[in-house]
Amino acid sequence: MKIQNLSVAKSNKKILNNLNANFEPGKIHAIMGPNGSGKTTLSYTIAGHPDCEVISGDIIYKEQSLKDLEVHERSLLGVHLCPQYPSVIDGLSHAAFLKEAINIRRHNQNLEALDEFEFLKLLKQKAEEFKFNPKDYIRHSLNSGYSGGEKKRNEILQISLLNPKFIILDEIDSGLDIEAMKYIGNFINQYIQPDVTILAITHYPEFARLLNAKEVHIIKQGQIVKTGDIDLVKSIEANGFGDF
Amino acid sequence: MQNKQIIETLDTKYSLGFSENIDSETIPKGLNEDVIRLISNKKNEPEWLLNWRLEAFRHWLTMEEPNWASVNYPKIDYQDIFYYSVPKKIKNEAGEIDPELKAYFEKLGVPIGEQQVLAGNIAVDAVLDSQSVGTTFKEKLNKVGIIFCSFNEAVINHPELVKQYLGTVVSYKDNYFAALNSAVFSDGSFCFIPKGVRSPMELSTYFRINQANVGQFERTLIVAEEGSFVSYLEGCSASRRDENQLHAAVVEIIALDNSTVKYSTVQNWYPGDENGKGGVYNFVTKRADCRGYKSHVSWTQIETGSAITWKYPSVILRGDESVGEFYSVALTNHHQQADTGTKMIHLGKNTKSTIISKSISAGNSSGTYRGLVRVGSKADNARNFTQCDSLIFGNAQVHTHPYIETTNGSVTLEHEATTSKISDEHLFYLQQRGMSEEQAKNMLVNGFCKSVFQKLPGEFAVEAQKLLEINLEGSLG
Repeated sequence: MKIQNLSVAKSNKKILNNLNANFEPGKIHAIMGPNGSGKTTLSYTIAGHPDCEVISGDIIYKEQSLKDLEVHERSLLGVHLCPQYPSVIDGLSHAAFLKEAINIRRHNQNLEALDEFEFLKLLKQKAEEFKFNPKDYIRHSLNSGYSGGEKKRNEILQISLLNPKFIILDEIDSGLDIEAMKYIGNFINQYIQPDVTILAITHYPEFARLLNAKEVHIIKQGQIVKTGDIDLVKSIEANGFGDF
Repeated sequence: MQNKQIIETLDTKYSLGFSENIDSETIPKGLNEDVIRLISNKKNEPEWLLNWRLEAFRHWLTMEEPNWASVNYPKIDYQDIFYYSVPKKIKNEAGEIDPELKAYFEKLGVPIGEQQVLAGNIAVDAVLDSQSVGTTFKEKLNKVGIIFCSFNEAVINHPELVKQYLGTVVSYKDNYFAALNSAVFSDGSFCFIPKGVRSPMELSTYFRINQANVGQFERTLIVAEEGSFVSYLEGCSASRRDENQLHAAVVEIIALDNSTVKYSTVQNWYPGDENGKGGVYNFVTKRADCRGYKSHVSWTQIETGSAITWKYPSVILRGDESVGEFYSVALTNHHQQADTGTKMIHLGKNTKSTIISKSISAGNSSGTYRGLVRVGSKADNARNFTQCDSLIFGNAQVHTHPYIETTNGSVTLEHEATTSKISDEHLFYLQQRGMSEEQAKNMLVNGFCKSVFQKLPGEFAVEAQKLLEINLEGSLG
């Protein structure tokens, strides 16, 4: 994915300022920066959130501009955002939600829809794999009553099920203990493939290291001011973002 | 910005809002004893019925319009309404329905010619403004002893049955709108299922308001004798008018020993425009009396229409072991207001009732569930299960008032309730998983309503789902 001269405003306030970046596939990219530097705005703009108004510039993914695509069209291209606070929807079961999500994707790829039986079998497997009680999980309302850790596990379950190619993890590590962080780091390291790109937005150098990030991008005042390898993390640990 | 889109997408592009210039005989606006005499006279009614109407009218004059419901509307001027309007030409010399009327109902998707009905067939009574214009399959039903005709015909041909049952479930003293209806009702459907008969087809009535400023006051009376079964469907729509239209109906059901009546409604009255202008005021009294041992009545309603809905289909569980059910989906959008629910009155022993109510609200609308479960002192071992779920888009309002009154210690009452509030962020999340906004909303609504849709007869379930989807898609349908 290439971000070209991207300027974005939120509630009429300019947040991203002529930002340029190249997120190459096959790599885990850590995005780091001080609070309010535009990390989350960058993620939401890539996903197409209506509050993020693109003033100028473009986002090119798979040789097309994402700028004028709807949120769901970007999703069907493979863009997948794990928000810091995943939605909780009472009354919408995981089974109903994820069956719709997977079959829309299959329809888009000219594959036959999964029937109820095939789908539930698959979903129960995934639930088991990600340490949910399968029977409870399928009927459970989306994230209802789940702890922070369970919600994040539910996010990576969805990645495993829907198989997206450009994944943005918006502070997926926030509020997690070290064991849970490791669990997620493990999954991400196994998931990465030559055609998969992962952007991990994080405050914690430790998480970037745990992910084994190939590239670290420092974002400040709406611009990427430095890109380097994992060693960048060291100087952040030592001196914060002041050096950039 | 997204919230605006939600409202637009949920916008009902009301596809049934057309009106036709149907040459009609309409008596002047206004309400007094002379108007009632005139209506009664036009319908060749017997003296006893005229007297009943007049008693109802005199009682109505002593009553006050109720104001306890969570709805707001300007004061209705009852003198500014036409109480009687019938098409001049209904049937030709050969007794066939006027082709123009037939075409009119076809445009609504209501078959009033028997040849057009598919194998699954449904008998239809079609009511336009104040008059039934035709009932299909009468002969076929007659063969098994079922009487299915307009209310007016029943008064002429079966006065003894009408006299025996009319007003015995909903007395004209019951409430303001029931009294008004009893005084001026013009037509409706009558349905009698004799002992031991299972109706070979579904019976249905379609109510349509076409003329401007006409109030529709229909009356439906269903009697199911011992051991009989009938599934009854009601559909309705109205022309799009800037003025509000008044619809004050009464439905009475009498179910005797071991009989079952299933009454399903898909209500699609004109809801008014997006600014709340126009639309039908729907003030309806629907009640069933389970008069016998193991009588069983179930109400299923899908409410998408009318500007204001004031409606509580209820069941009196008089007979021992009788069963009452209420399944409801009510969708409100823009400035629509719905105050709806049910009353289950347990009087007999081992009686059982189930209430499933689903409210979907969007825009500036408000939806209220108002329910009463009352258990009498003799209703030993009565049981009720109530579930009230709400699905709210944006800032619409939903209220739930489940009242319980019991004087019996042996009852079992269960209540469950959920509220799902769908914000812009929720929709964004779902869209981010590949669904368009419409697909996300349909998924939410269909999942939410599934348990009620399952209670509708086959074809009707498809229609109901389609209707909600049209409302959601904002397409012309």
